[in-house]
Amino acid sequence: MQKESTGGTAVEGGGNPLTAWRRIGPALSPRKISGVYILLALIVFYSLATTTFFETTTLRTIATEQAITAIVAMGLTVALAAGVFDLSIAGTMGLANIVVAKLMADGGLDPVVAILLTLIVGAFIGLVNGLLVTKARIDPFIATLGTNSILLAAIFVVSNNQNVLGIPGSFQSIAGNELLGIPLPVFYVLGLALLLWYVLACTPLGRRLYATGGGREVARLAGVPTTRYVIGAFVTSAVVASLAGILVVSTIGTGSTEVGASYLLPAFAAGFLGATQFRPGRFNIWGTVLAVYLLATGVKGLVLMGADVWVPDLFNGLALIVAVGLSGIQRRAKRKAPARTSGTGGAAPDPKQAGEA
Amino acid sequence: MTTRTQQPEAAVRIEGLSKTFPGQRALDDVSIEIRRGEIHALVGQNGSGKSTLIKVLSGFHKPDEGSQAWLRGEQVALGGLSDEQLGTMRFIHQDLALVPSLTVQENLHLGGVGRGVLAPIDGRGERQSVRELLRTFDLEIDPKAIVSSLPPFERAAVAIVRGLGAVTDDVNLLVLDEPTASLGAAESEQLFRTLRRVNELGVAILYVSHFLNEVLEIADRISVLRDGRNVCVLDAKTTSEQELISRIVGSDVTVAEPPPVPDGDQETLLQVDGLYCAGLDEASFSVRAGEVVGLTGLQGSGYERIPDCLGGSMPFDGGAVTVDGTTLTSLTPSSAVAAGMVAMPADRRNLGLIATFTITENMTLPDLARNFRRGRIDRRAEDREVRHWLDVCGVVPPDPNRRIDQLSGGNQQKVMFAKALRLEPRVLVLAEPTQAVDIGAAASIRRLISALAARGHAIVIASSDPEELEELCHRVLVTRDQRIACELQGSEISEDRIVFECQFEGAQQ
Repeated sequence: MQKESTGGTAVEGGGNPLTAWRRIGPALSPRKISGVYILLALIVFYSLATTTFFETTTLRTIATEQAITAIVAMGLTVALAAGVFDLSIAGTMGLANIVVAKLMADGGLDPVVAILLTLIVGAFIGLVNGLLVTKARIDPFIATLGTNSILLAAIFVVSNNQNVLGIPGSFQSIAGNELLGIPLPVFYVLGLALLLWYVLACTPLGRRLYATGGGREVARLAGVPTTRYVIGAFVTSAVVASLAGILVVSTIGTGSTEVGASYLLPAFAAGFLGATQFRPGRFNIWGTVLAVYLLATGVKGLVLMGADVWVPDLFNGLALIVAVGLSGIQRRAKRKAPARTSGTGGAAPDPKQAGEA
Repeated sequence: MTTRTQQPEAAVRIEGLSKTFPGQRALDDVSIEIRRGEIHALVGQNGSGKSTLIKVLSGFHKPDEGSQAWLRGEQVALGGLSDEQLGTMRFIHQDLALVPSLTVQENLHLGGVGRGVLAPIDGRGERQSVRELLRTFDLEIDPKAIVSSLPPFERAAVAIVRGLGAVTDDVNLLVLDEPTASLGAAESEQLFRTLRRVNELGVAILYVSHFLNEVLEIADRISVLRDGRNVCVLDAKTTSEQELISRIVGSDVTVAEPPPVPDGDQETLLQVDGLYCAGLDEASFSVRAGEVVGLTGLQGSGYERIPDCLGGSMPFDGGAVTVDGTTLTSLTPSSAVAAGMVAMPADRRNLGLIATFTITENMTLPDLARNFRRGRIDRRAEDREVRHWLDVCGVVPPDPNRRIDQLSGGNQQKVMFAKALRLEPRVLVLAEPTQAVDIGAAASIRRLISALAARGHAIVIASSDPEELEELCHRVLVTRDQRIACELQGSEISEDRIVFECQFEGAQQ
């Protein structure tokens, strides 16, 4: 009973700059946002090393080109947070881009209707993935590897292996227009990031999704309907991938049979690299977005310095491996310094307090 | 002590061993002598230096200058042992280094000696040799059994056999580092027989464990470490568990005061009628407010199913459960909580807590709606609430943002209590509440349980630790052969009686 209650005496922020620093300081620690520092360093380095890097056009190209990767990667982040791989995002993106193009070019549908129908197709793909994993109990890696291949077949059949031309101009303005001098896709990224960040980080839904990913049985015993969460995560990932597919059509003005595969690895690399940032050890939206632009900046600078065409692939592959390696090292380092109870002295629980709640 | 003449029968003798890590002295002038033909236990709390000592022995850590060591009377330099010298000691660690999905035979032949990698496997010959090898140790284990299907003792036994291989004269010492999960009394006896057999083959044994009743049963002598120092060497035959605990902790541990016996007219909070499921046949019992009822038996005898059924983690096939007046014929985790009953699973890692979550995230998971305000989880309200319950359950330090995998087992267990209590249940179902927990923490958990009962919770404890049941329970139900076979109350509840009742049927056959 010598112990004092620490209950309501927690120090509130207040105006003291020292206390404020204590709260902000750790958030700026290189251990949490090393990516931001690396990004800044890259920008400075490339600006000095090349004459073309620090130009509005280059920066705009990076922002716009990577918007699609960022969107796919954010969808994937939701699946990863729920503890499942979704390899079918590539095929989903490709199919969505063909379907939306076909609906408008051959079906003559209004772009809005075409987009909605395409998103429904995407949701259906996610639902199938989710059911395969939860009901048929197939490993997510295998299940989505399978559906991805099936989707590639579907792309071939639907498109007759020909690019879809004749996309209405109004549709192309979705990605082509600008607001305040900034291309619209950048706003889509921000909007989607805000939405997904809010859901994942601030709501019970997000907490339960992470719980499903962190320990499905623990979550189930805590009353989380884990089956629905896993299915929901697949549906989100597929719908977001479809959005990305739609955006591709709007950007390039054709439905291409080749879209999709090239986004898979950057998305995974960004997801895993992102999990070392802001909230180390957890797949998180801002981490993913940061990682997408970090990787893109790294690649772009190399290209401007005259790197060969194979460099981006090499760079992304290395990034994925390094990211996964890094998170492993972080995990082990944390475990090395476990906190211990302070023996038996005085730590007797006080039963009287149990009733006060 | 250091003036003692060297005894030729010592398998291993170490004197003046210290090991300093940056900022921490893990071992401080430690001496230990393990005689030939003895089972020598090494005990101490987490962080007392047990594992460092073993890692020095195995050559993983280099000790500080100034230690002396002898292997079978021959002076050697710790930290600079030759491969040959290291080969005389065999180490079996916690994870046992077995491949669970392979058979006993396959495990024993992993890294098989004297066989080409691609040479065809002679199944029958192998099985024969494995059977003979097992027989050397008086073990009747089917070589074709899959390791993961074996009970804990047999798994440990296979690991021991694998560690020793075909024993030659070279093997001097076998080190068992927490080789088993909690063993029932019958299994401890079996393990003891196997270890004696190993002794007879001329191998001394160093047995590290925190299951003290097991240690007292199995070992000849016990070395106690505390804060990296030798405390004493005890004779297991003449030492009581209470004495051993106070040596380990360094002070007298207050035994939990048994909860007061509830009045006869206290309301019944939990009524279980004819509960049955795979592995459990028609269990019926009731628990009143303020009462602590123990469930025990041998592994697989059925008692361990009851918390699973009550917690809603395992659907039951029939029967009814009445919680605080509400009768339920099926349970999910949520409906159990809604009725006022919370179960704490024994498997902390896979069922109890999420390793990558913080204390707060783990604790609030079952009821997040409570702190969901203005469209988001109110972190500050969460923090306040969590701190309160951490304080109640004695988690030190009470840091809600610490990740679960950075906590000691004892603190993790207390967080599980905090998580359960936050739901304000009237009925608590605890499975192995002090399993794999420090002695100090275990004592404080028992005090907590006792205090909760005194506050009017109805408590069910499913435990394989008869001592714990004796200390805490008003009644103990023993299962045999998937049924509740007997009920002990009041003065009938003693460790010996519980152990006897667990095995009663076996004794008759």
